[in-house]
Amino acid sequence: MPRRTRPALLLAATLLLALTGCAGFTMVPPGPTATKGMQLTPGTAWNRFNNPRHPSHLDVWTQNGPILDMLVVLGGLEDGRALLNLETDDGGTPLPVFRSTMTATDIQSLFETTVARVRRARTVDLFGLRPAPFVGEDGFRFEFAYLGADEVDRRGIAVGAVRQGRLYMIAFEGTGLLHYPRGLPEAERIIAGARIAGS
Amino acid sequence: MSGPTRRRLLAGCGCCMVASSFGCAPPERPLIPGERPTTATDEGGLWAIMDREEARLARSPLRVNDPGLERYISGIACTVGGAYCRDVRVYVVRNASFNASMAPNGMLQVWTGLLLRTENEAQLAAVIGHELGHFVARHSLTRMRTARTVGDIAAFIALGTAGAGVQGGPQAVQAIAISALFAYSRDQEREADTFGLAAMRQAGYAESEAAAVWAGMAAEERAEPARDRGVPFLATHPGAEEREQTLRTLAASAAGTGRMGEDTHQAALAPLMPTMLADEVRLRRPERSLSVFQRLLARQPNEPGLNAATGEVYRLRAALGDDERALAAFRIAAAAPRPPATAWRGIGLVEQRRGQRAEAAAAFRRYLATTPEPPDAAMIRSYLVEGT
Repeated sequence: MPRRTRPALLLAATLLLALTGCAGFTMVPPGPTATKGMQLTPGTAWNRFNNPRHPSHLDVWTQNGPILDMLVVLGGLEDGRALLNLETDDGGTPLPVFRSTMTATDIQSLFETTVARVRRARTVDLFGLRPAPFVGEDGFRFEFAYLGADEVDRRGIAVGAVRQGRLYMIAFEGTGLLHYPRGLPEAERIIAGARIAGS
Repeated sequence: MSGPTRRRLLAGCGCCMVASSFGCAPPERPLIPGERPTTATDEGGLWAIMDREEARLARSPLRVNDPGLERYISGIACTVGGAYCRDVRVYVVRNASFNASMAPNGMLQVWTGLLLRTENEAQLAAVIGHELGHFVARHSLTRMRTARTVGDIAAFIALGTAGAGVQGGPQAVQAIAISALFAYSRDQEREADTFGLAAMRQAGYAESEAAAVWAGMAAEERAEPARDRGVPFLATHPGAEEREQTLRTLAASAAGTGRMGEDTHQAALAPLMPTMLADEVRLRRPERSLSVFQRLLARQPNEPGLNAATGEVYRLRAALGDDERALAAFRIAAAAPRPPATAWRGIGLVEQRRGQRAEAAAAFRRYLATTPEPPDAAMIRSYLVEGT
């Protein structure tokens, strides 16, 4: 039923090359590190995934590569901005944006839609949304699971808080079978020790 | 080249109409029911590749395991397919986009996004009939045979078997590329339309419903604000209006009787509806979702799931006047004997946003009391505490 022509294929192939050609990895050693307005203290070394397409408020770390696990650090997102600025799969409707007046329920919904559209998740399940402290504020946390087009089961946690109208969040995700359960203790340590710089 | 020879060549080259560097191959003779090509041929090779894909799809976590639904759709495929009944195998796939496709080996995929958008059995029969048209006429084989170089053929095969993708951009490539595998020429689409309508007629379905499917898609695309429309060649279904017109014209001579099968359709889809509605709402393309939901609500205005989903769309869009629209929709859903969980929750969230603490608390309590194990119970309880 869908119809495509060759020019579309060529353009898409060019986009693919552009996307994969630029990203690199740098080491984040264990110990205190400043990133995106936050102070984090990883207990083990991580790889920072430098993707020029990531927005300025995002820092992405990984142990085994982003396909297998990711620690997404979101620091100081302002009112009116989306969580990510990547192209959505339909290239059309813009992603919903963060508002300072949002409740935890709203922010979880924002996260859910972002995962669905940007990660092309076919199924997204959310669990256990509850109040939880984060960066010294009254924040929230929840667990999630999703299936992308690659059909791999991924699990994750997200913890966040709004401070002075800006959103701070850390989400850790990994393959349900191995990388999530294995990486979770270190992710929880990072989350528990996270502070906003200068606070 | 002499006149008649050139005309014959052009007649056989319907595929040349497509703007591509592919060459041309004459159309194939129709498949015989029960036919299976020998593996030594290029067609046999294509089938073998598709068989492998089908084995993967059969155990995919994205396959919807609803035997009742699969039986229902298989039943339609058999009714519409006639002698080809046993050559078709139906797979329902969890994907919120509007799509159905039939692989050259008889594997029929119907995506949940398409199921959601069909209002009755006749509309689903139209889609299946159309796909059967491609299958019987072996259009994919013709497309493959038009590939001029070894590289083209390799790309054709590779795209059809593209398995796991990686994140981000490459998946867009994959999605487009896989669609290119089954990209048919204008003539092939028309042939499939004609076949589909004839099959519907023979099976006793209302032929007018074929155009109705595309009328719905056209309305949905028009509903999307111009600023949000994507790049044209990335649009899911270019020419929805054109498809609607073609099918309306082709069905114009139809008797006008023929069954719709609304009740059987709603009953068969009912178990999967909450999931399909949630998948659609999650995408946050409110104008498109509202277009679909309003079309479905026209036939069942008090259906609780549809009303709750409509409420969610308004609640999440939060444009001027949306709070009132959301509450109105949620209230219809909440009045049902077994309201969907999102109904009372939605009322609570909207009232909370409006600062109506008492109303919000009452709604949250109803939500907690009537929903088994709500996944956000702890947060909703904290809202209750906050509100006091």
